[in-house]
Amino acid sequence: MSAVPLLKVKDVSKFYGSRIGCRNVSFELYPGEVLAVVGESGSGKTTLLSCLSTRLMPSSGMIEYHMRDGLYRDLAHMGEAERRFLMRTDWGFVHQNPAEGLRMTVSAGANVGERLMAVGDRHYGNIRATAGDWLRRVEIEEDRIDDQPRAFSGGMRQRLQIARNLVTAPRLVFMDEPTGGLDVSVQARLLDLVRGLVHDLGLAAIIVTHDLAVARLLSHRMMVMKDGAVIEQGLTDRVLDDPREPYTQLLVSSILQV
Amino acid sequence: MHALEEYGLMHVKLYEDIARNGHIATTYAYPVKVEGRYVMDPSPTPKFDNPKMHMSEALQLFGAGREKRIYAVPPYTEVVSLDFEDHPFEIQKFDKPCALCGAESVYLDEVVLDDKGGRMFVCSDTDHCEDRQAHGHAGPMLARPKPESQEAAE
Repeated sequence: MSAVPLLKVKDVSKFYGSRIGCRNVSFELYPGEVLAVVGESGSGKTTLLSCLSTRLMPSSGMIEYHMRDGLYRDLAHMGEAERRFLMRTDWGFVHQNPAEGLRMTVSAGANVGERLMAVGDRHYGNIRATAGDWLRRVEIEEDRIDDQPRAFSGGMRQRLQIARNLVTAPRLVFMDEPTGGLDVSVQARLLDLVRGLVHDLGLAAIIVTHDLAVARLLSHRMMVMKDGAVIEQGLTDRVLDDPREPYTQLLVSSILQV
Repeated sequence: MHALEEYGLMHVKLYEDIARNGHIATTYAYPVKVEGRYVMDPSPTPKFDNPKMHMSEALQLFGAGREKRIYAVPPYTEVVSLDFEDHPFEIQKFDKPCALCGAESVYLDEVVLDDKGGRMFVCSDTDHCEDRQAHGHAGPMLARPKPESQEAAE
């Protein structure tokens, strides 16, 4: 891990009118680090993720990103075009529902290749080879390259969505409940895959989940949110094995131990 | 889309074409990049005529009905058809000139003549074709001025 943080988040709050989305969230994320944001529904985790990924404008606070040129840029002061460019090159966003992150009516190969074409790749053979390679890496048979995601199972769609996001070698990936809606054995495979990819590529990731097992398996650090605020954060193992806040203790103890 | 210069999707369309058909099968509404910046769909124009838009001395107007807009390409503007390095833009090639007026390097329509595989290729621009015929140009299948023989030729 390098010495400077990739993302610096300072006192980020988001209000929906008088309602609180999230408030005074601060943290730093280092390259290669996986941060899990956990909490129950309505605790503000998704709002926070949307603010971080510039899908929502925070009401206050500052989010700075360490650009490839070595400078920190305040996301709120970047132009729309610049932000969009960042999103399709240096960042990835994995939605809970793959249909939101994929183009369901174009082939798997084109889904993976889209980002390459968007950044100016103009060689069909190379794009296709890269797409095929990525399908293999996410354990989709290469002969499915011309099939549409509509013909894929839920787990395959989710893996395709991950491939589509990682093809431009992003440095930061946001994941919103990546295993939601998948059955347990498929979840396990997906988690295994994500863990491998994150490790191999040195990705930094922010994973929003309500599933503590996902946090345990994937993340180095975790933040527990309640009513829009971060109530506890620390190393994942420390938080899960020795929770300090009463709410975290409740959360941890409510998991079925098998 | 134009402001953000997000045109990746246009190439996705061409990619899908190659993946499905082995070549770019789009023959009209073929996307072009204008002045290295704006991507435009010159919709009903066959792609055969795309190269003619490049550095054209005419002012070109395109009506976008659904957007309630008119787009104009100024004279002497760079217009380049999108493509892939390994699947370059190509226009249709016709083996024979127009069957009626003998014109070459024009876009030809295929006309099926019977159910035994008979066909002819004639200018898509009928006005241009008739104009040429009036000026004495003739293709191999042009019926001489007897109206009956035209029927018989079919």
